[in-house]
Amino acid sequence: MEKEPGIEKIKTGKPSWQEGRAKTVTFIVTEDCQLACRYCYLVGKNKKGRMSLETAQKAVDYLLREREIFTEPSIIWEFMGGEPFLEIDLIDQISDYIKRRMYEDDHPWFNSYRFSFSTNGLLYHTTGVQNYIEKNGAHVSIGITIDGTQKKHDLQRVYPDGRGSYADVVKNIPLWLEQFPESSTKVTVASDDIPFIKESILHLWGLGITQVNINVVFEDAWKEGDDRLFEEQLTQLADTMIADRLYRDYTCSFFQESMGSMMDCVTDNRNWCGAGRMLSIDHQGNFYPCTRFAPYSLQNKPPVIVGNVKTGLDLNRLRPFLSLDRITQSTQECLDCEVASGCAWCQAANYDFADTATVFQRAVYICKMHRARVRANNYYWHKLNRKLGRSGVIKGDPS
Amino acid sequence: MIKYLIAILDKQATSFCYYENPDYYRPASALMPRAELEKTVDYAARNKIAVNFLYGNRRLPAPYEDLIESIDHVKIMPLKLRREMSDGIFVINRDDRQEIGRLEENFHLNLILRLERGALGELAGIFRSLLGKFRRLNLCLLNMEDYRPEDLTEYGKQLAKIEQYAADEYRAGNMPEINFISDRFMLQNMNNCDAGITHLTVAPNGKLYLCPGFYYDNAENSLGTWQPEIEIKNSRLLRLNHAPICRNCDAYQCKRCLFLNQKITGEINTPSSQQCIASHLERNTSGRLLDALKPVIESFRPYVSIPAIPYLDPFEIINNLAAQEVDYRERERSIAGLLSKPLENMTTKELLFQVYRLDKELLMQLKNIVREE
Amino acid sequence: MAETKEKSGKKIGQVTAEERDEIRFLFERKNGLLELSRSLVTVDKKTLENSPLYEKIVADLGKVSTKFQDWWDEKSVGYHWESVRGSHWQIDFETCDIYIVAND
Repeated sequence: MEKEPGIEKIKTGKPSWQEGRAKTVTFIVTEDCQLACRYCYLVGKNKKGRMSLETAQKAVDYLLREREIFTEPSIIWEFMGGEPFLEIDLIDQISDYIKRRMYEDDHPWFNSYRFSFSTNGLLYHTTGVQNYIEKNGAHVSIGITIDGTQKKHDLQRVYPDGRGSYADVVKNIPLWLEQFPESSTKVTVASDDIPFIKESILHLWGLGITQVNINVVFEDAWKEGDDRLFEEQLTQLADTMIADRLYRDYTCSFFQESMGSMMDCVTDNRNWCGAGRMLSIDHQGNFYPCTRFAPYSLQNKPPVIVGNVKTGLDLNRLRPFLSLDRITQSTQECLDCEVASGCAWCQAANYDFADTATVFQRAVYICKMHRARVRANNYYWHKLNRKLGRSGVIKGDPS
Repeated sequence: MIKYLIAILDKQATSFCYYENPDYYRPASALMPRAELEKTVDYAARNKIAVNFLYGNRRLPAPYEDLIESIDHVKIMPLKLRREMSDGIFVINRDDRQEIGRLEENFHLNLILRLERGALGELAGIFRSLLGKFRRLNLCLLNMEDYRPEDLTEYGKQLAKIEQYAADEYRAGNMPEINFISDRFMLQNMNNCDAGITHLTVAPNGKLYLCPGFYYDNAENSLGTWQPEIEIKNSRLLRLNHAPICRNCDAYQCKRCLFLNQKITGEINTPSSQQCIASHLERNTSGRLLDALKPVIESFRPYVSIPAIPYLDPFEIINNLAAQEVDYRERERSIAGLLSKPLENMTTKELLFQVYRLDKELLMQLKNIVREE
Repeated sequence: MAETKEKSGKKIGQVTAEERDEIRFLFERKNGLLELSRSLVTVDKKTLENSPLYEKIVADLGKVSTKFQDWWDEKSVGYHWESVRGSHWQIDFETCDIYIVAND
């Protein structure tokens, strides 16, 4: 946490494990899910795509064998779906295999790994999941997605029959926080969610989730006026955070002190999207540069397969993802933008919405939303800095 | 700006480049309809551009030849047609290699040698047998998508032999142009294929493509037919400044083949590892040859030496940058030095004068940078 | 002497990044061995005890646990950390801070 001498502390977000130097390998263990969330980018969820233990084992063997390709000192073995906990028994078997093989091979990863999950939380309390946590506790990281107030959560995160899932998720939150203190949640905001942003973030903090990572969807899902409403919500949230001194104990990723300024085309050219650095594996043993390039996740384009458990990783197929930078994908308008820093991109969204089958055409549907965020962010830090007597610089003029 | 067209006169036309024509060895052929040829010639005339005509294994009917002769053009045809057609660029495919022995000594032929991966070990021998029988020799390594590290090692060995043969030739006072070695002596900027930028291809179906490779790969993926303005989606990705690996590279003789890029990496602006390594093996061969021959060729032109670099694949620099292992400023200086080498001997005053002529805003920006520093 | 994800109690010192890396490595390895051994308990005890893998894990666990304890012993002496009955030391891996925390 940051503290200038004599100045009140401001809570900052917890850094990611191993400062982002870990390799993330994602097993898409199932394409099935109990929910039918309206904003879910997994447009092709189904009951058929289930990974076999054999496929997972082949993938693990390959990853452990190719040390010249996979040189990272740490690894995150991630399990995703659909809803991963639908396959907790399979995950348990895969995890046991991973641990044993890392040890048998005397692989450095044995001394630096995590099992990571992103779950809808519905099965968190079940025996299978709890046994798994008990067994692997020190190495497990679980994120439950709860989108805010019941009203907001149930707008999007619904069962196939349209019922909201909030009640079934929230009852597992206390257990989750008890087992994983200082956990964060990921909240996604689409157009209909905007009026509920402020109350939702406050609600999540009230539940004890002190770190809320929240982002707007990359898709072309925004209506005229959404940016103004979004800015109003964030401004109201800022006022509450400052008035009630919530900044001491809670964080919301919408507010970052260093964002919203122009970016240099050489020194600020780095690609921050991890596609290509992570590896995703589906039930057929196909490799993807990120889960969002798998068939069930794309709306308009064919999947991008960069290898297979049988043939290995095609390093040539990874080159575009690893060489993509800010300037090559961006329009001149983006490059000239005076509030560019902090404006996110997603290579899969680029690809899915591009005019051709390329990752080098930036999807810019979030442009107005980013500008609105910058204005609210500037407002927050300006007001907070004045209150705390901190120095601070308002960067850029987003209008 | 489009400077010329490539017209595939026959579905069976020879390839002259990295792509394969699956119909080339088939017995039947299908000529471009005459009406399409007329449209092609008409477009070229109206836009004052030339046409490269790709031939199959036989001469064309007289009306076709008349149309061809009516426009500025170059004929590209298999070597086997040389006895019937005296002028043009001749392609040596695998079934043409037997013709090499029958070629008379000359210094005017423009040849393209297309060499399949399985024959890589014969490259130096073929080159030697061709010496004295061409003015310009272009090499296309085929099956690049299947290249393995051992193939690149073999290519390096073949280049080492060719380096010696070429050195002897230059020292003897002959100056053959060898695209994969001698072009780099003189190049100070990228000299790429530039498909979609300086040329487009018209296929026998009358539709337009970036290059013949895209036509033969999938005829459905055309750019459309003749329009006053031909739209190429994401055309910026055809250009060097939108190729993150290539824009930092000084293997200027590389063709930066978009078709191979797309085929192997999936992106039109991203080359494969084997393309980069092959180009750098050639670059390095050029560098050594240039240093060895300077006393011989210096009188023709002051050549800029080609510095040694610690990599064969510039992707290694990009990847390290992205993985935050390298200091940006240091790497930036290194790349800038490499790309600006031909300008090293310019005086500052002369350089600034050229900057002023080319881009006054750049001059202003330079002054701001100097003031800030 | 333990490390947990949540720090509490009083800060009593700080180690260097290299020292932090040492104990983190031992901490991770120790937990890894413990959890790996739990994965093997589904087989019967006799089979387990005769398994070369299990024997290796047990031996490794012994070594790591010793080194783990040694690290705390050495650092606590070297840095003169206060010691209180009924308390233990914790390290924050992010800040390298050492805390003294009452036992539960």
